[in-house]
Amino acid sequence: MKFFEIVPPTVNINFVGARFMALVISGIAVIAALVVIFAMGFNYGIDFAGGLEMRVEFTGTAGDVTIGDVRDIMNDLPEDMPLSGVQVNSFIIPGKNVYTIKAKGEENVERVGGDVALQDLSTKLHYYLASLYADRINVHIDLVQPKTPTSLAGVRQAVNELTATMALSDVEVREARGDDDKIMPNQFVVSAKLPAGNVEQGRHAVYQLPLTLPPKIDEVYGENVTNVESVNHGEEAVNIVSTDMVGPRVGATLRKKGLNAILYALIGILVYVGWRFNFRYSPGGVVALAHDVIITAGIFALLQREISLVVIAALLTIAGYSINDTIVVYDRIREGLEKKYRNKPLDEAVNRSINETLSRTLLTSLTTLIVVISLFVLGGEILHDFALALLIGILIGTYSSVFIASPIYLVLEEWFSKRRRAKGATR
Amino acid sequence: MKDKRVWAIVIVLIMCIVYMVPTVFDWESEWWPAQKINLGLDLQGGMHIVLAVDVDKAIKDELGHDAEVVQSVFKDRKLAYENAYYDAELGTLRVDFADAAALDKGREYLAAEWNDFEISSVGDLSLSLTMKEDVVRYIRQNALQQAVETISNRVDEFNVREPEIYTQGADQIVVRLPGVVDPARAKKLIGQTARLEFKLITEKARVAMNEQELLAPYGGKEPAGYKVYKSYESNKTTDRQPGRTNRTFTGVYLMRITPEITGANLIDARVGYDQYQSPAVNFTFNDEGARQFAEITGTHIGKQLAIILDDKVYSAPRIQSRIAGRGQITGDFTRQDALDLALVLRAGALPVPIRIDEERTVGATLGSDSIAKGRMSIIVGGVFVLLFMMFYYRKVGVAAVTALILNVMMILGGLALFGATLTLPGIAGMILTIGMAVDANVIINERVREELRNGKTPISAVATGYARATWTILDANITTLVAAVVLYNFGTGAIKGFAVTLTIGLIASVFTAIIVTRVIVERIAMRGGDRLSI
Repeated sequence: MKFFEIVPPTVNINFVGARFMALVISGIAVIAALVVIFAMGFNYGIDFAGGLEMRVEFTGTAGDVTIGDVRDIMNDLPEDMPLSGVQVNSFIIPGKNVYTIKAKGEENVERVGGDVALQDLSTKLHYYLASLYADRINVHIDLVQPKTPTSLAGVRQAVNELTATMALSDVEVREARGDDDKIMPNQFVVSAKLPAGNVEQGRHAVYQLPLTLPPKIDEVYGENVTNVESVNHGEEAVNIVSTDMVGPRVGATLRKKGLNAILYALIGILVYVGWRFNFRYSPGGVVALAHDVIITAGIFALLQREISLVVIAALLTIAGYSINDTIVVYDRIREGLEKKYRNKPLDEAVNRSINETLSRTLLTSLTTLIVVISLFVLGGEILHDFALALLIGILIGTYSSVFIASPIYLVLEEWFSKRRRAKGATR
Repeated sequence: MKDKRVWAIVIVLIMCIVYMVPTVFDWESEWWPAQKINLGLDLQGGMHIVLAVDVDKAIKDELGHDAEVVQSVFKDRKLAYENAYYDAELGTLRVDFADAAALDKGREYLAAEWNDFEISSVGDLSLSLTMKEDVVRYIRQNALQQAVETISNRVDEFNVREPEIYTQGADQIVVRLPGVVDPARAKKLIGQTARLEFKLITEKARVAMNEQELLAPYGGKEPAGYKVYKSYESNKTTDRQPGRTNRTFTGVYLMRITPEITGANLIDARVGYDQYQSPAVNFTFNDEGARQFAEITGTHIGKQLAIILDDKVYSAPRIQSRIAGRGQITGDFTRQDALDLALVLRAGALPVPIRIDEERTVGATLGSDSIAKGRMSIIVGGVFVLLFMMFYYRKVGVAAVTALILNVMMILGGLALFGATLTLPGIAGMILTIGMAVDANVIINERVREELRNGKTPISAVATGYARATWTILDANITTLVAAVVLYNFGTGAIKGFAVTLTIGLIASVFTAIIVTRVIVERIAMRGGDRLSI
């Protein structure tokens, strides 16, 4: 019977023969990774370092804002936002002009006056940016349980009273419509434009409108019934796509938890492998696993890619993947030693088992790589580093399950049997 | 032939379809047993806030209150003492005595009645009362629970659909608001302590323009039991407009830490107007509060009574006459400020201050973009893997493909069944599972091929191949499961989502590989005679 094969069944590459070479190379790689990690340190993301990360979309009147403009704005922030070392990067959402603004680190948290100030920071930044570009504003309000029935005329009158003295033009009030174009009861949209002259005061008014609108409408329909459902500035000059703020205390806790998680996973796996096989198998599996995780982490440190929560998740997944790979080979070794290769030398038995599982090792790595590459290319920027970690980890994991895990088992097994024989000889 | 495995597969398939339908067709109905998969805040947009509750403040407050109780009880029992106060340095309650005899009597009484404390001597003439561990723990827990209740009240008034509020660890509260629109306002409403206090400005208590001047008579230090308070500064934006003067007095005050009256007995707070027609907050006390208020104001006419909210002095009007249960807070507010302040006062003060430790807001745009990208990479990655499997393993590859599709269905169905939440890392987990689920099929198929090469018939090769591969597959998946479980325990929301999809995916892939494909492959083998398309 003929099959389509990437590895011919007769293959017998001498992997075991290269074990000392492989162990030396891997040893050097692991040491190098550790040196890089300790010398350069990880580039912790705000999950672990604390700080503020906002993704801001510039559209409409601010649509042609460039990364340089954003950097200039960030270098010249008002006094109440004394952030330093603000990084600005492009954030890719197709057809959109989005930038990531990031102020990392505990020193930033402290400089803005502790946690209390930090919690207002994202809002302040949003309003500040919006006021720089807004030439128009739309406020979508929602009246919840109004005391008297609402009417367009009533809301319009209240709005006109409010905006009479404000430097705004073309003030409009209309009923809000849902996606199905049906009028939504008790919901209205108030919009206004920046007047031709008097830009300074106009911008101020644009900033004021969403704040002063609810109380004004409340005067007619009852206290605290008006909620601002959404605010956008004209063609949406500045949109906050997302905000992540992590206080220093949370950062430190997460850092500790992340390390513990990796440690517990290692112990759990060690125990399971020890129980299912025997403890001569465990060290190889765990060394291979640590090898994969450490080298991947080292590459992240070398490239100074950010370590975020999802990257930690990726590292743990690599740990799972690596042990998965190792176990398949171990299973085969055990089976071979019990039956087929009972009378062969240990190193040959191990080597044959590795070769027998080689096509499986490569096929699984290949299919997993296919999906990870698809995630890397198409999954978007948030998952980019996650996919990168997996990509590196799977490549290294494939190597280690062949060259590291089984050879270590072999070395240990040989050492134990030598001792056993030595004991037998003295007896 | 009635194969039990076929029944099992059919049942799983039906359940998957039942549980997937609402999500896939974006349809929900009351009579349908399943609901849509919960989307995490990172996919549907929303706000996630972690609040740190200053539970130690509750202990301090309790000790401060106990000090007052000691004073009044000692007076009642005619026990001599010099002073009783909260010792901030040691975090204990301290009682000073004039002589050893008084100390002994005091100790005798305290040891008999004050069971919540360990009593020890400090120096010759002082006793130090340390709160017992279990009492401390109880007060902390209580403060946390009260904070959760207050925040729930406020969130209810805020009108959010399906908010989640729960405690985390010893001193944190997590608030999750799906689809909230104005994070600024939400944060303000949730985070404000709204601790209303009234303190008399008498004796040692004084007012000055700056701290130096204020503390000059005390050698530049705050006397024991007293604290410096600053004025509230309006952040009203109209202040920046020319021609408007700021009416608020911006001095500093030295006042007793323990308030004369607190806002605990407040029953209502509404927006009103002050004498300048500026928005203000009118509040009303219940009978108990009204009685206290009348007593204090009645006995201190001519003195100033400071109104303090969250440690900021809003105003310190001179008491003109005895006032019963009503009052007003003025502070050069905007109307929105006044409305929000009234709201938090009504919803109740937080027992202790809180601060925001972590805030994550995701807009709807990013959420739907993430879903679109996730879906795209699943489809592209999945199609490539499917093509590869069919190309490589031919007819048996089709079995693997069926298993893979069922696998994705089981993840979606499982998420709906367990009411788990799908997050962006969860989608990544799903994609990853697709890659790894193939693994089990590869292990089996390679094994079957080997058996065929050894000259076995297709039927017996399939039987042996599956039998041999089963434990390998179980072992390999269980170890990965160990990592997933650890991840779940470590994780915050989004990472938990990853661990959950990974776990469901692993279980599903064991089921599909060992049972589903076997049923199909056995049938392929039976029909193929002496050949197997693998």
